[in-house]
Amino acid sequence: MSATKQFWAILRKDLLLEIRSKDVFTSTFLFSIMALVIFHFAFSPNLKDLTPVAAGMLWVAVLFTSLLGLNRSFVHEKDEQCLDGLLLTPVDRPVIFLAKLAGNLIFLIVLQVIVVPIFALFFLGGLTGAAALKLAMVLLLGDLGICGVGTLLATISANTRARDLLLPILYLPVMTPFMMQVVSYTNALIMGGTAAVDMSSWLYLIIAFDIIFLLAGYALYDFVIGE
Amino acid sequence: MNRKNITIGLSILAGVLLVISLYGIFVVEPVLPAAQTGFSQKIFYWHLPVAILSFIAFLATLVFSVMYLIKKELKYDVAAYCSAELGLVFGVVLMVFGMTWDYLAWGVWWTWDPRLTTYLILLLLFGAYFFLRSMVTERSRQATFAAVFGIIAALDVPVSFLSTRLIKNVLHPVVIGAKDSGLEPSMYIWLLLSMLGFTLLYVALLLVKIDIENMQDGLRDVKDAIENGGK
Repeated sequence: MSATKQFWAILRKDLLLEIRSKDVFTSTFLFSIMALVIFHFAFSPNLKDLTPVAAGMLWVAVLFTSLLGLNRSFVHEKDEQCLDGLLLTPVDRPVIFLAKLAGNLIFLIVLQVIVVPIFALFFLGGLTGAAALKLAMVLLLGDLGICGVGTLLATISANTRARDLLLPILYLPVMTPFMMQVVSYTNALIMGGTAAVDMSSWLYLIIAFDIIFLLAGYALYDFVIGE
Repeated sequence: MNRKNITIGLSILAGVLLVISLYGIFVVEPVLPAAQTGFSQKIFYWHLPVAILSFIAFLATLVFSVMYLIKKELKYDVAAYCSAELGLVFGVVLMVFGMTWDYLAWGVWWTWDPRLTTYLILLLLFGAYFFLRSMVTERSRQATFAAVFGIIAALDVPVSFLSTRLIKNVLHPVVIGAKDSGLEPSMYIWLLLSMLGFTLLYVALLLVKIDIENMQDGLRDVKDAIENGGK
C-alpha cells in the first residue's frame, strides 16, 4: 500500500467512526456554544459592548473545545487497544501522524463552520465579506497549529497514567504564545483596524508557529508512538 | 581526585565566591542615587547571574533531551531531568528577586512585561514537564516523552519571547531599557564574581542531583530484584 493510500485508510476510519457515532461533534458543538453563553454572562456586568473581548472569547472557546476533540481522538484508540493494532500494520509512523492530524483538523473546521457564524451573530452582529474571509484564514492557520502540536501531545498524554487529564497541562502552556498572536490578529480584524497597527507581523508569526509546530510534530512523532 | 571531592570542592568555592561578592555588593560598592533605583539596584548583582543560569539550565535540558533521543541512553535523561529541576529552582529564585525589584523600582509586584511573561510561560512549561514525568512509570517511556516535550517547550520559548515583545511594542512603542542604566566598571567585577559563584553552584548541584538520581535508580533495581525472588 502506498503512503497516500495508508493515509486515506486511517483518515477514512476516523471519519467513519465519527459520522456513525457523532460523539466528538455533538460534545464539542454543545461545549463551544455553552462556553460562548458563559462568556457573555461573565463579561456583560461590566461591558455593554462585547466586541473588544470577542476575539479572546472566540479563541478561548476554540482552544478548550479542541482539547475535547484531541483527547477523544486517542483515548478511544487506547481503550480498545486499537493503537497497538494500528502499530502492527506496516504503516509509516509519520503517516499515522498526518492522518490523525488531518482527522482532527477536519473535525475542528466542520465545527467552526457552524459555531463561528453563531459567534458572529451573538457578539459581532454579523461580519462583512472581506473581514469574514480574513477571519476564516486566521481560523484555518490557528487550527493548523492547534492540531499540529495537539496531535503530538495527545498521543503522549493518552499513553500515560493520567490519560486525558494530562493533555491540558501540556497543551495550554505550549499554546499560550501562539494564542497571543491569533487573538491579536483576530482582535485587530474585529475592531476594524482602528488600532492602526501592522497586522502582517502577527500573521508572519502565526505562520512561523505553524511551521515549527508541524515540523516538530512530524519529526518527533516517531519517538512518541514507538514507545 | 574522585567525583565526590570535586563536588565538595566546587561547592566550597561557590560559597566563598558568593560571600565575597556579597561583601563587594553591600560594603565596597556605594549605593546608587535614587534616580537609578537606589539601594534596590543591588538585587541586580545576583538577579542577572541567576537569570542567565536558569536559562543555561533549561538549555542544558534541551541538549540532553536531544542527546537522549539520539543515543537512547538513560544517563542523558537523568542529566536532562536534573538540569530542568535546577532550572526551576533558579527560576523561582529569579521570580522572587525580580518581583521584589519590580516592587521597589516601579511600585508594582507584577507587570506583563515581555521578559516576565516569557519567563512565566517557561516556568509553566517546565511545571508541565515534571507533571508529565510523574505520570509515566515505565522508565524508557518516561524518558522519551519527557525529551519530546522538553524539545517542544524549548522551541516555544524563543518564539514566545519574540511574540510578547511584538505585542508589547504595539501597546507601548517606547521600550524601557531599565537595566542598561550605565554600569560602573567596578560593578562588573562583583557581577562577574557572583556569575562565577552561581555557575559553580549550578555545576555542583547538578553533580549531586545526578548522583542522587542514579542512586535512586540503583535502589529501584535492587528492590525489583528482591521482589522477583532475588534473581
